[in-house]
Amino acid sequence: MSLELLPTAAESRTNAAFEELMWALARPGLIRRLPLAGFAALAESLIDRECSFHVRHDAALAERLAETGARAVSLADADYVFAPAGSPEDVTALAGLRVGTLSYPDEAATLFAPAHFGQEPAGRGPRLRLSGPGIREAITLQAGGVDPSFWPMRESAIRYPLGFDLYLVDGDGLIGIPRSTKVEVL
Amino acid sequence: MKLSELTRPWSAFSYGFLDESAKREIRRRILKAIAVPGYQVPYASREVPIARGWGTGGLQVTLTLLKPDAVVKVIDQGADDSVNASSIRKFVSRVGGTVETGDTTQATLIQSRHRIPEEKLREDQILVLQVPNPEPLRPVQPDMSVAREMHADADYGQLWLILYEQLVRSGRIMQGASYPSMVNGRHVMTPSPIPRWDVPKLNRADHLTILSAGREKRIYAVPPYTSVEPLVFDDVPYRVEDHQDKACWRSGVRGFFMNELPQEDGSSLYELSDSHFGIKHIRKAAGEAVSIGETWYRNGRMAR
Amino acid sequence: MAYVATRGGERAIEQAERLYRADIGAIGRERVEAVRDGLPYLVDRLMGEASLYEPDLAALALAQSGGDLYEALLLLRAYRTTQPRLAVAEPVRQADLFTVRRISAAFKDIPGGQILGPTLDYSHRLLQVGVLNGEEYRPAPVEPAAEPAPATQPSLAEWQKAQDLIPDHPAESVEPDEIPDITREPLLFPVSRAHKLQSLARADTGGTLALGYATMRGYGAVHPTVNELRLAEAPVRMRHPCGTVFSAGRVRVSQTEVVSKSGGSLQLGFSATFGWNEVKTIAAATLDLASGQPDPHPASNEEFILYHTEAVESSGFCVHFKLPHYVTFQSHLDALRRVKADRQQAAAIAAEEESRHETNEAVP
Repeated sequence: MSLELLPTAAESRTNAAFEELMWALARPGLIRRLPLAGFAALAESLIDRECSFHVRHDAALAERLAETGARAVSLADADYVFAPAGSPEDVTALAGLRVGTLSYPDEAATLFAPAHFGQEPAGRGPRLRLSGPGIREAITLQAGGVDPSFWPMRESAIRYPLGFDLYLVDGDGLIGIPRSTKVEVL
Repeated sequence: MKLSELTRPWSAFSYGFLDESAKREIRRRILKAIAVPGYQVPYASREVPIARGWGTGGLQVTLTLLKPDAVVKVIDQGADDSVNASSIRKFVSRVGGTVETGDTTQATLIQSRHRIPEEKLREDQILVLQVPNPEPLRPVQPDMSVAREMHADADYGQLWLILYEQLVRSGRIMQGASYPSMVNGRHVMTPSPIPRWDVPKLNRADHLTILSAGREKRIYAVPPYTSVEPLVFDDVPYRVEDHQDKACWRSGVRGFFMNELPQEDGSSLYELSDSHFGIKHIRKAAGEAVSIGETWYRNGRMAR
Repeated sequence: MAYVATRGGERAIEQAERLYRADIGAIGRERVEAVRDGLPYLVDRLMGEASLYEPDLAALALAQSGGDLYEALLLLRAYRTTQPRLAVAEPVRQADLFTVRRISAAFKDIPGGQILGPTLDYSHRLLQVGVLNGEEYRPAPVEPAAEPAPATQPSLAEWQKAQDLIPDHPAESVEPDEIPDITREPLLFPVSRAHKLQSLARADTGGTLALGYATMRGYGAVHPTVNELRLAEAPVRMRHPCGTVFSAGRVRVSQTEVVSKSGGSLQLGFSATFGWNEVKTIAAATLDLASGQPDPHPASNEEFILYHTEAVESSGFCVHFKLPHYVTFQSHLDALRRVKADRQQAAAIAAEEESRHETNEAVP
């Protein structure tokens, strides 16, 4: 039996991207570095014909995702949602994210939203205090590009274990905020 | 669309045996498991070339996480040289070309059946536990659909009841291994058949634990810094096995979980269950430069 | 403790495997072909349980495992999981089947006719021991019928539906990519019809028989009659991306419908699998029917039958008990010893009190 002992370039890429997705969720609030910037590289490691997705305001990404065989569906039906949360209108739209059921809380949506983790004072967003599983004590962070109304919307959507899981993406930077994380706006 | 876009050059197996579509499915499930600690996420659980019930759940997670620079340790009952641990390690290195180690502190990925190593795991390490039966409610409810509703309602009264019955009948809680434990204050999980000695190692740990039952097709997880509390009554404290005073006959080390070895004269000898931990102690005693990691237990007591 | 302890386990498992393989000996193409051509019903059974139709691979698996069916099955299932899904075949209807055997116990004769086809049902089960003495056993040649039976047959259930004897369940149309696939999705309960029939199709023949037989004996409220049983070759038709449908070959399939009176109407139980395996489809169709009843007997509860007839899982778990369990055993032993110590202590205290009591009484 001949076995390939080395992964292909694509296999290495999706493996590395997933590792960041996993650690981002296991250690909420810490910035992870992706092997490649952007949503497409993340999607590649997770999404295929067995999933559904919803993309707002990014036709190129929607096309890339459709090539994986995944089904484009409405936001309320989607497993994976790629959408901005930068304006009150964006946030209102995101209130329909799937939160799972008590028997199957894993049937909840995962949201990927663009954000800025930079230090520039303009548009850094409110200071957030995160606590919960994966966080040693508490962690504070600021994420620009996310409308302040997002955080109250998130809080009212989550009735743990029901709720959606969130990834904020800034280029090759990634922050995970699962539904188990308590977020306080300071 | 062309046929060539749907196919790739023929090869016997993918890297890590599982193809990308199987890996993507497991990745999606692992993320949900981390997002809801202790909740059992159903997954398809593909067949792999070892028998079901022999670590196929753990193996599928290990294979999904595998990369050429991973350093993998595989143990069964605490031992690296156990026949099934050897078989799994051989398979992983065959399809993954990874580095093997026995040293807990060197490993990036540890797949284990029924034990958590004695040396403390770090934030960058992943522990994959093989799980025969993921359902803590099985003793009170064999029907998985009903058990799922009970988890949905956080209806754990019957679990408390069997612990109470044990107390009344025997004066002690008789649960041996697989001690049911509350995770993040919401879902009761079975920590897999690890001894009671090992359960506190999961509570607010530095490392990530992924538990996977291949035959029963469930993945669940305990992220770092997550509470894992064995179910106990306020006035009956949780007790680990009475191994704090036992000494290993090979290494002389005391205060860790032991294997009991019955002797012909009716007595018993004890040896460290964490076999490589024992080897390190023996080598150190022989004057070799061996570094032994910080341990969870000190002087036979869980250190916090 | 030897530093090379790790190698000990590895050498042991390697040599143990060699011992097993030494008994079977070298395997060549010739042996695989002998298995494939000489044991087609065994190959069929295995292909059904593996959900992988490839007689050469099934014969190879049997040769490689020395005929241990569960080992052969695991080999095939593990191979199957590595294969990409390239396309989905067109649905096959009963009237499309090239039917070689077709039986109904429900009617003396049926539209299209009863076709006995190949069967040992009415043979006398006598061992041809002469073969062992060097006499070749050469079965008598088949005498063709004056008029060949038609290659395809209408569906009996269609006739019954038209007569309003059994309720019609119109087929749902599903996009090929959305057909549920038990090999890629977890089995969840209440189970979808697709997952149930797929699970039964790949279920362990022996396990299906055991549970089906329990239901037939009365652990369950159904009294099955074989409505229609078929052994056939099903055409595998594919749709080319340009739209043309073409045949990619044929696969041997068996299917059984059983019928039982329930309330005011008849109900059908159904099962189909790869390969010719009558006993399995009759038992599985019975289980399909029984498990679909309201409040079924525990022995024909959906979760009970589907979990416990999964051959790879049940056989694997059964043999896993050979693995060391000394850590869990140690943990249980500790709890038992503690209780024993408690009791001894309690008995000692009681005995002491008793003797003190007696001493007191003895004092005048």
